Amino acid sequence: MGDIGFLALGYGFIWLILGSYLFTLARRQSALRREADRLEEELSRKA
Amino acid sequence: MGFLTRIWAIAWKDILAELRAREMVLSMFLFGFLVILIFNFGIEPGLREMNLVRPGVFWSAFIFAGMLGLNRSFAGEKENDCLQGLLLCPVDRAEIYVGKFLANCVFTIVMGFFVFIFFAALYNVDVLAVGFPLAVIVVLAAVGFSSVGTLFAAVSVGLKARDVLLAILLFPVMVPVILAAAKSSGVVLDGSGLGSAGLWLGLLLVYDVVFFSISVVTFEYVVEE
Amino acid sequence: MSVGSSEMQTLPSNPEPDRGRPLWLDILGITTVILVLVDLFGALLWVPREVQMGDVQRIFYFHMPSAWLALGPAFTVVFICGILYLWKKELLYDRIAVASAEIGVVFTTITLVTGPLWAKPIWGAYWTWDPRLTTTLVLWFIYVAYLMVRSSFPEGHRRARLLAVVGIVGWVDVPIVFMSIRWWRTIHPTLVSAQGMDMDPSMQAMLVFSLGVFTMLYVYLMVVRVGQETVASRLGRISQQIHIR
Repeated sequence: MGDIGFLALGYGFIWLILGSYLFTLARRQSALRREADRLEEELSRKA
Repeated sequence: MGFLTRIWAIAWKDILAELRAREMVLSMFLFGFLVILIFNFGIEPGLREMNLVRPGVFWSAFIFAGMLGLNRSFAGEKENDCLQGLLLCPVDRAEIYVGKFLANCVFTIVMGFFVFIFFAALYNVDVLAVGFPLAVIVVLAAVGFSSVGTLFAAVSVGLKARDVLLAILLFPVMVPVILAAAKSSGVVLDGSGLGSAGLWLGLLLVYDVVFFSISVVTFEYVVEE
Repeated sequence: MSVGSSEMQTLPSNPEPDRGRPLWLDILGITTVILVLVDLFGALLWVPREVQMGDVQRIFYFHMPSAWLALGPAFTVVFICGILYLWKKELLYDRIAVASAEIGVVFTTITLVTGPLWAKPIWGAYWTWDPRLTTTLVLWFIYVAYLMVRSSFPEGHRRARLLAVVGIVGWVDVPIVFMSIRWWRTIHPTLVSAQGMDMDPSMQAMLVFSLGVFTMLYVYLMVVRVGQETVASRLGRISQQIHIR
């Protein structure tokens, strides 16, 4: 693999890793939002 | 001098329990022997470079067998809720730690001794010549291993994945101990005295002091309910 | 049912969709993204080609800041928060610690992947047992162990205590590991890995800029992550309170 190949692979991995982490963050965010909605709904049911 | 008696009481409790049951040390020895045996089958016997390899074989066996001992160190307590009982005693948490640490040290050193005999037989080691310097290294390594080992064993006690978690926690922190022990014992096995391995022995000593102190201080936070 | 806790009254109950995030956080996020892109262009196109190593060296502008951030601030924050938690018993410190540990794993992984990819074309081998990279590998395991301990226990003070202790022991271990590996390699240097790089001023500037960008990335990710943990914690408490009634 040429030099540029390694470079491309390197940058590719960086974006992959950062992207995966950002993705998991976003997923947790929506899970939290869903949980908040669920609790809200329970509250209004019990009220 | 009350604290010394209390520490010894706790250590002796563990040692006595083991002397009666005898299951732990026996499995530690056997496992240590097996590891050395398996390494032997993996590596060509009679290799010229065997001298470079053999310290690593011994210390790998030492670490793996030592892990078995650590796993059992708190397991017994957890099963019978003895840990609760121990914590209710008017004993300083740090004293509990030192007692358990001492017991683990004893077991590890005894295991090291027997595994070394097996190792010496397989690798044609002149026990009389290298016995004492290697004993020093084993003791220093055992202290370092048991200090962090006892602390982390208390962290992982009661978990389903206890054994694995203890290994994953402990091995990275053990790297300096393994390096220093392997390097210094390599020097000794090749015929030089302890003096030539001074650098590595110094590292082991520093490690032992540092991590024993940290463990003594932080143990109470680990067992606090 | 009476709404007793003030926390319940602050739940968004109005019908209009609220953004849920403060504006400054979004600005920080967008700025970070822009700067990272600038960094990328700078490293790939603007900075001059290194004389000895060629274009592969460009990966250094991402590799080095990642390594520094992981080894330095990220892990040290875990350590300091561990001590602070044991002292003050505030769960906020535990949340900051876990955020830093997670982001630390991300940066450590980046370092461990880019390092060998850089080493292979230049020194001919993926792994050269270079003390810094090897210590980073050990560090990775310590972080991962930390996160595994975290997922093995239910949320609460006991877990926070255990994590604090693990974080403290791990952090103290890293310099000792580094020293021992360095002694190991200098006594038996089978694979030499010299840092032979000629850095002219523009390259140095690029490196410093990249370092700054990564630090900003770390800060942004930290803010987001700690925020999530805080919210999750609150939701957990609210959920408990609802079910008690």
